Amino acid sequence: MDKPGAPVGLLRSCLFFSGRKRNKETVQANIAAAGEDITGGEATSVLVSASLPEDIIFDVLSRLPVRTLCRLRCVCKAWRALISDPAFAAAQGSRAAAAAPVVAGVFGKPCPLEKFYPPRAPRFPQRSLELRVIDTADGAVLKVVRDVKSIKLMRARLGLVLVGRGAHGARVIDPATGRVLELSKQLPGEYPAASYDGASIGFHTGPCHYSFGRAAPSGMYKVLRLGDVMLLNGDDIQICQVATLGNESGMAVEREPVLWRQRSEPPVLTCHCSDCVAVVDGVLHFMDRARDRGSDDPIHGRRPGPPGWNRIASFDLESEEWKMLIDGPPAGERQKGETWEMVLAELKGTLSVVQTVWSRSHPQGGYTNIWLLVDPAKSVWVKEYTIRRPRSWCYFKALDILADGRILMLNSFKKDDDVDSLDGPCILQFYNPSTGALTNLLEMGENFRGPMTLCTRSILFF
Amino acid sequence: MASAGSGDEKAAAAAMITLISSDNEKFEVTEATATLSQTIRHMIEDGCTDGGVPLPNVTSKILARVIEYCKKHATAAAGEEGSSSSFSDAAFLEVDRAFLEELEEFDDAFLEVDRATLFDLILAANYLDIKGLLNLTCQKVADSVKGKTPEQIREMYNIVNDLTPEEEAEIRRETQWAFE
Repeated sequence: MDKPGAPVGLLRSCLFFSGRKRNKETVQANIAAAGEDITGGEATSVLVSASLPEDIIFDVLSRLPVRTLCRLRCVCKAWRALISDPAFAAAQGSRAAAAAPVVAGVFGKPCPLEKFYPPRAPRFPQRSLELRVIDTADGAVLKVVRDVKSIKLMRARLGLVLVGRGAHGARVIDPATGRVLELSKQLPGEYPAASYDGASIGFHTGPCHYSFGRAAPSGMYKVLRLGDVMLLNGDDIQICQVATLGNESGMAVEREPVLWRQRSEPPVLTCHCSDCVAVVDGVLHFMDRARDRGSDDPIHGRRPGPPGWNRIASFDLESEEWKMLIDGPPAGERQKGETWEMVLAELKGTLSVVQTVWSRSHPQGGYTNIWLLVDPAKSVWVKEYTIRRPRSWCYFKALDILADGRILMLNSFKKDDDVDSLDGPCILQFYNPSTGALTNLLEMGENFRGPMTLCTRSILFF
Repeated sequence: MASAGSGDEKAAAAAMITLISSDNEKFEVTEATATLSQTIRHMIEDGCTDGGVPLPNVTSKILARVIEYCKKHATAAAGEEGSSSSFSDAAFLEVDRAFLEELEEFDDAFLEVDRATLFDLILAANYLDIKGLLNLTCQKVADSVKGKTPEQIREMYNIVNDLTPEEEAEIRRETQWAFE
């Protein structure tokens, strides 16, 4: 295992000395490193606790939540150095991801029904919505960003957080500092509409869809903007533009306005809701915006319908090109009385589709299939899990699948047999698919509005 | 599971291992118990456990406790292997669950020790390379640190604050939210 180089000497200087059981080498190293900080005589006479080696201190502190660690920076120089060390931060981050991650969620006045619809950008700015960054290890609210004006939070596994506002632009937020990068709503007027077979003389612009990710391997954060445009000949297209925000440590907050580069249109019209986008290893994926005949609403893969009902378009953030379309999983036939919900997600490091089936008639309540894409070139999917959901679960969102197979999910429960109990609080919990056991991680409170994302910002930035 | 190349007879004879603490007390344990320690496992594989394994870094008091832990968890490991074939069987799952609960209770009770003993257990687990025990004991220390103020930590662990008042004030100013 990689251990930090720099703080080791410092650590020795003040940790847990005892008079007993020290071998000669350690004692000498301690004295050498301690310098004027501790005099040997004092250390042995006053201290009774056993000495712990620095790799143990590293191990112990890497198990602590963000807020505690931020406080512990002022215990002594050695701890300050350790907590500011990138190797330590990485270890702390992966431990947190495996047990109790940091998440960001949108909170506001209760609106229980909203939780059950795919989050879309509101037409008008919404008041009193705030983004809360929460450490699930101790429930501490690390940061509150007020007035985000939209619930359209993009679900991802990234250091930064994006809240889309549709036609009003988007905000990229640093969850550690609360700094906000405002992306303006203006589309450049000089869009070369003439490139469309000369058919287009002018166009109307519609809403925009913002998404983001970290390009691989460069690690640069890039935002993708897909703007709906109706050409005068009646054709719908989507303008595609990309902007680079910076790497993990430097976000171009001060460099507003960001520079947008135009790229080719997506191969299909993509859906605007945040259930229909996922970013996996630097590639953004979007569900096709197929519509039922005679309807204006996109299907979101909710029912087998016209061609493309669960087709997926993919954009590589590094090369800034669209890749081949992927066919969605073979989701089966919809039975009478069933309601489907299809959500794109990144689970286990791969593109996945969480297919939740609600059924009024089914005695068990319903089930959820989690499909993982194993071969993008051939659109091969495997059904990794089928979760039988008891009737009492009335809300279900999978956020993560851990290495040990447990699923991190948001859930809420009906009280007794109350059919209309949709306003119960959401609970973030672990589900063990092999035993069916649920373990509570954190109750979200009644002001939680539904959208939530993982947040992998390193302790170094807090 | 004795080292590759040893005959059946030798394997049977090697089933018990003698561990010798720093104060020269001898402990007889089964190989299954002893091999929870990677350090001892490697010694067995190298065939250098004849005449006992001297553990100069571990006192008899601590070694007795470590062996108590290993015995319990060696049985647990054996139980897991036995039941994995019938994983889907609900009855077996029930047994597994009951067993895991019992193990958790054991671990909780095991950790009811004073701080000096806990540190000694960590050092022993580290030296003997017993992952489960190291994990358990480190988590216990981490839990005791959680939510404490810097002053409390310094007092608990006898850490001398070598930051200047200016440096400490700066850290507190930069991360004021963490102290509220």
